[in-house]
Amino acid sequence: MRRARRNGQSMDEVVVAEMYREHGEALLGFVRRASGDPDGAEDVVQETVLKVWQAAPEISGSLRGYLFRTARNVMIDNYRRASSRPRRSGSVPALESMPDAVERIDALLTRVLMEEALRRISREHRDVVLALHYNQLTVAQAAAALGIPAGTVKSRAFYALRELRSVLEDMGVEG
Amino acid sequence: MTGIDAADGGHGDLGAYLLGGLSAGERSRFEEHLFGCASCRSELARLRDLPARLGALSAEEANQLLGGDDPAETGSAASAALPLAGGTADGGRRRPVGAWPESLIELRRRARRRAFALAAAVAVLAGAAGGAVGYVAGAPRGPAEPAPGASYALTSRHGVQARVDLDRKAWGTEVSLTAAELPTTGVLELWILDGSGQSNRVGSWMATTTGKSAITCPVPLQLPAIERVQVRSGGRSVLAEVRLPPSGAS
Ligand SMILES: [Zn+2]
Repeated sequence: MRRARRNGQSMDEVVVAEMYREHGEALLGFVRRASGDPDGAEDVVQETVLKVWQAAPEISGSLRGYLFRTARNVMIDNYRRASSRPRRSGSVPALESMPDAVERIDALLTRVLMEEALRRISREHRDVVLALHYNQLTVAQAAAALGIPAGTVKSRAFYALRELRSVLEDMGVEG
Repeated sequence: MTGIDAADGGHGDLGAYLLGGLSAGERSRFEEHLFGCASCRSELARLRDLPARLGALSAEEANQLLGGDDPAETGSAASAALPLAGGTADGGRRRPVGAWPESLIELRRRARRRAFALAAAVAVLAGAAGGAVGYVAGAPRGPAEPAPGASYALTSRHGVQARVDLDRKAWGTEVSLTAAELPTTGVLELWILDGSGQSNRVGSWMATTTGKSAITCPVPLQLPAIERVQVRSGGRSVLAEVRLPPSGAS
């Protein structure tokens, strides 16, 4: 994230507003699913954006991947805090155990990052991954389904994996 | 890698091989090619964890998410396609995202409040643990925390000596195999069987002339979900198998 200067409006405000515009909706979706607490989701998103903005890290790769990972940490911190606090009985349903919460949130993060990566590769590559891997078609079947030669299916399969690898690296997911 | 569009059985099959699109005949022809092609082997090493990572989405989810119009253009496909964890009882009270935040001062104030709350929570934990550090950032540890991993060593009835290490990771489990007395030719594969009876090939590599191999594969399953780890030959016969104890007893 660059902190360039723009006249008038404070650059901080511009950066934060931009983060919301670009990533707020996806982040909110992730947090809602991960936290199981629709009411707290917006707070988590705010805190996440704020943290990323305050730290103003040199993010070379995908800001979205960075935001998702930060949101994960915010949610886990919240759980840790909530489960360490004595609670008024009856006011809140019992919390799942800390390891369960971490496991569930991390599993979802893995999935969300993969979804994001798949959305970012080209349409042609995505179609081939969908046909071969998910729908378990053979090369010949995929060629027929997509209306392209079998050789093209094969080369797209290879370049799809390469693109996926570099998108994942860009998002900070190590190979 | 050069000549990706080369004839069947050559470099050009690597992607389809990894994505499972080759017939049995094509598979074995490609594996023969792999044996003699260093560039395919290094490319394979770079890409081979991807099928396991794709497994983070089920086929149904993937089709829902990716099958329609260009999902890159609909930024919220993920949240729209999948049910919300907490139900959808929030209809109507969603604020337009672009309208946030009301003010940065408010955000800063909230952050400070939360920072204090966090510091207080940490102090409570440290006290409860008798002054010991309650939690290490990024590496949660507590009384109920499961073991960080597990290791098994065995000699199979095929004479394969294998050591399997399983490490919990954020994205699942890292499975490492160190083995000796393996076949010295052909392709070897690492398979994971989960509790639901699903088996997945999570890695494959070329046998070495010494019969020793070391390989690490990312598996998008949490450790308790892994039931067996198998080493198989390219012909799919099981050379060595580790059965994990039922979850909770790792
Ligand atoms: Zn080759």
